[in-house]
Amino acid sequence: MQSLRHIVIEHLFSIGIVALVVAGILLLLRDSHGLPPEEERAHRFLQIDSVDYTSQLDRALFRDAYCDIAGASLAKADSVLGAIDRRRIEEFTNPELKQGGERKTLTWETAAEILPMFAAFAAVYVIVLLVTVTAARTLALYRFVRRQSGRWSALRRYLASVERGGMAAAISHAGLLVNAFLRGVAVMILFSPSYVVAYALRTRFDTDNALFMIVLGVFTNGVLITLSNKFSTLLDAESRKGYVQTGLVKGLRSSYELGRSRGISWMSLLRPGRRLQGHVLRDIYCNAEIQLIPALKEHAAFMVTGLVIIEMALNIKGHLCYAMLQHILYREYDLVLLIAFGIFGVVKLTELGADVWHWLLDRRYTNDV
Amino acid sequence: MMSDTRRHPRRQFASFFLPDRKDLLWTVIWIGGLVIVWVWFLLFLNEPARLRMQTAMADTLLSAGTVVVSAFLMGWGSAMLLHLLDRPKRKRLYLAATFLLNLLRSVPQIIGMLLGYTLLAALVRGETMRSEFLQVLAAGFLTSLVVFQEVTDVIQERIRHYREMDFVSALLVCGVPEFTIINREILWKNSVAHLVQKAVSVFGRAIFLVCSIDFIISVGLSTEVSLTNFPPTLGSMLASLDSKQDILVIGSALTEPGLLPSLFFEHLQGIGVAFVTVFTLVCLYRISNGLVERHRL
Amino acid sequence: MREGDLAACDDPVRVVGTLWGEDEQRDLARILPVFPTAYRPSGGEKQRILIGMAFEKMELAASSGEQRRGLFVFDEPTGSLDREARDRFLDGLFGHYRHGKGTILLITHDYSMIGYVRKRHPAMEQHVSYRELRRDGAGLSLADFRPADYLQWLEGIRPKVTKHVSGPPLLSVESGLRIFGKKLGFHGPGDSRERSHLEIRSGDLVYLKARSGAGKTTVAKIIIGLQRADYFRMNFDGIRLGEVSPPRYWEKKLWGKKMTMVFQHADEALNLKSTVEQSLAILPVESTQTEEGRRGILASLFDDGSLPALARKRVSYLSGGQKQRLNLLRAFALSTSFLILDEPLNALDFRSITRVLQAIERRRELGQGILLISHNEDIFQALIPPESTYTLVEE
Repeated sequence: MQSLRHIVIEHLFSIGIVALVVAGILLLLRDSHGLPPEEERAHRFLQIDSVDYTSQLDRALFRDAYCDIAGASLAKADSVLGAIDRRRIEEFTNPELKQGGERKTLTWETAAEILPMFAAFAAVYVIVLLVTVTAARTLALYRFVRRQSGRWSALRRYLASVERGGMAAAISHAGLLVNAFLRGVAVMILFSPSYVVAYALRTRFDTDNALFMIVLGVFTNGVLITLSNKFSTLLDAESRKGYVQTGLVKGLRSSYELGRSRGISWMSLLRPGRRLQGHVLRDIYCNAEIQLIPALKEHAAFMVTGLVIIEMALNIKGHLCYAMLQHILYREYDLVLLIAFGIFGVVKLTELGADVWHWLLDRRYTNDV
Repeated sequence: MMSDTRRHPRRQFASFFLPDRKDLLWTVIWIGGLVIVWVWFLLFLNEPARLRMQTAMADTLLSAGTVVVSAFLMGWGSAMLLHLLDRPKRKRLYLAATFLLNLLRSVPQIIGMLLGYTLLAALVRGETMRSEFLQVLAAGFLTSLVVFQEVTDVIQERIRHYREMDFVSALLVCGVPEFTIINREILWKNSVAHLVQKAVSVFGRAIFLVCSIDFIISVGLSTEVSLTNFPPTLGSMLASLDSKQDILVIGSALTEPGLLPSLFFEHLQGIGVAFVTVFTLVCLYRISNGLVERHRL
Repeated sequence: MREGDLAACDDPVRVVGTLWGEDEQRDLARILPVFPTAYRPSGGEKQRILIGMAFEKMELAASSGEQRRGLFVFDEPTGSLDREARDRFLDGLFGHYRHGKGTILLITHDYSMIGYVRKRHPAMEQHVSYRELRRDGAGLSLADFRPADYLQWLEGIRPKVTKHVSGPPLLSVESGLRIFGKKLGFHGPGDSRERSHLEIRSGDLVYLKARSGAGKTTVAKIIIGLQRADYFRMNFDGIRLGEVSPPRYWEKKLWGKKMTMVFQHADEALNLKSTVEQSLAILPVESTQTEEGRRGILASLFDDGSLPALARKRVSYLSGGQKQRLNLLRAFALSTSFLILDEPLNALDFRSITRVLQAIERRRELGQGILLISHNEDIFQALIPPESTYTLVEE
């Protein structure tokens, strides 16, 4: 097993490597960022507000002034004017250059603009992460317990009752059908890409706040359901192992009735662990939990993906990823890289956290400590 | 025996609707659902919109299919490479390779794809890539770059599983080449279910990512600047102004039930695209889950 | 009786130590603070701890004052125990039985227990009823088993006198190999307490025995080149090999060509998804490439009548004994000059045991050098002369 130091070093090392690469690219971009000298000059001359390049008088004045100050020939001055004209036309027709004057580059100011957005993003992410993990665990346990107690899905129960009781049952058990329909809608929402849900609700709610983002982050994009599904598969796999049977034969509690004292209490779904003492689920849970953490690590990047999609798709000004999208569209790649690096850092730190957590849990079961 | 035959028709009744092979059931539901939606479109959606829908659906599926193929090629290749490097003598190379792969894993998929798409956009603008078909394939390839690790993981996990048993050792000492053991005995004979399940889930993940990235890029249209015009997919269809308006109506319909019928007739384009996307995602998830359940993966 | 009842025991070391001898207390102390993983403690050690706990539970059940006698099921309890530990287990089991602590159902394929019961617990024989589970066309059936059949057969076994081929040994392993911080050596041949090389000539059948947990399988894996030792020296077919020899050498030059090994768990060693034929066809030798060739190989351990059906059967549908026979046949088909057999009689019934022993003898007569590892000392000590028997010890 890796030592704690080893784990920390590995992650910091990879952050460091990527930081170096990003820094290198930024330097390259900075060098090539300037326009070709002639265009750059033309661009600067265009910034002088007092000169109107459409007026012949101003043009003549500019030519004379240029010859005097730069000590250049008239022909040279004409070529500069030509460049200015070309640039002007381009800035007018090419949408990309429209805000050419406002084109941002990476400076301390722009970085300082990004920082609070980044902090807000990270904070939302941490909350989404914690809520999702708890919710996914609870959901997975609930589904596992339901499966173990042999309960059918609502639709199956409805069909079975129709089979037994015919038309009368079909009507009297319609509640089950509603139940199944609502479950279906819930699953659809859990799988919807966040933008579908967000646009569907936009006319009714103020969708531009952090709370809504958190709700979307947890409940859409399939984030919650894939994580809970992963955990529930782990529980299933554990429950088939030999020690579970042995535990049953030796008399561990094994009733999966929800809310009964002999079975599983509702609270223990939310906070499993000590509450399940003496129940076979406790052993299953503990063994599955250790394997859940690496899975969580794999899901960290996807959870961030979900949040990025939300921020980009909702078009909310002042959010990190919306800013990133804008920078991509305006080809301000240095800023894009900086933001991407920040997001990468968030994922890496999550992975570091997961690894440390895993180390803490696993330490108990390895023999070399 | 008697009671068995008496119970038989009944059991068939329930199992006809909900058989135990859930992967199959959901495949049927998926295809059936798509056909019903298509017939509905044929009846109630104007022709240009319907044709665009068809192209978008085909593009999306083609793109996602490319992702699966290319992700499997890359996943298999990287797993074999890692396996070859996993020797005491090549310890350093092995560590470097795993390090790089882990690095790639930590890049959120959507960020990686955005960076890739900017590159792709440059190519399309530079007219090196004119054919729409090529563009769809390229988009699929880019997406596979951020998901192929899932395939690598499955293959590696399968090999590790059999390594921990005497399986691999026993064949090795019989003089069977390692390549044969891994590919024929482990992957082909013992892991097809795992790989199919992974393919389905990668397919679903790919559809989600491709739609999302197209949606995001197309939303950029509202700000006078666009990356470029990629072939339509479900994502960009959804981002078009009409569709967004249609979806906004859902919110209104929640409080004014009178609007509900209009969802299915007047606002068909947006609702249809959204439904097809989500429905496909749900079905693929169910299919992959069904496979897990049936084969106890 | 609930899980965790034993937590209240006054002396846990006494409970888990029931099956550990006086001289093994050091080993026990070493594994007590260890969390069980796949490899440590060894299979035998885990088994002994579990049996100790089971005995304690029988004790608790008896002292709880319940009137009805309980039923206790032991499923292959001696699977990975050496003879001493197995004897201690049987002594303990009969002790508990005599004190009236329940009915015991013991499921095992270890026929050598019969001999021990007759020798050491003759008074108990009237309390033990032997049954044999058979699978035939009609499904499973339970038949009476006459212990005398087995005992008579055992008595009839005479060691085959190995003709001592002169010349250098095919394989010679030096004592003093080191792995996992342990130093292992060989005593022998026979009951000699002297350290010596483990030597096997062509046409030799050498039996390596050891206490459970001593590392028999590990030594086999070192010889076959699957496990790297910290230090070892061996000489195979004129080539000196050691811990620094490249693993590639075994892979390229030896595996399947000059040496091979049969692993003890047929379930793990065979591809359950292959058919019986495919399991043989994958071997890199010509004899298994034709249908007749494969049938011929199968015929040496299976009945002729069932061959065509058997050949097309999937391995996962075979019984444990059939799998083990197929596992052995795979190695026999290779005709390497050297062969390691790890617990070749695992999961075999009485009839198959005799067939397998004949097949092994035939391999030896054909000039293969065979190293046999087993805890089934009853049979192999009768079969193999002392000059071909070595003991693996920790130095």
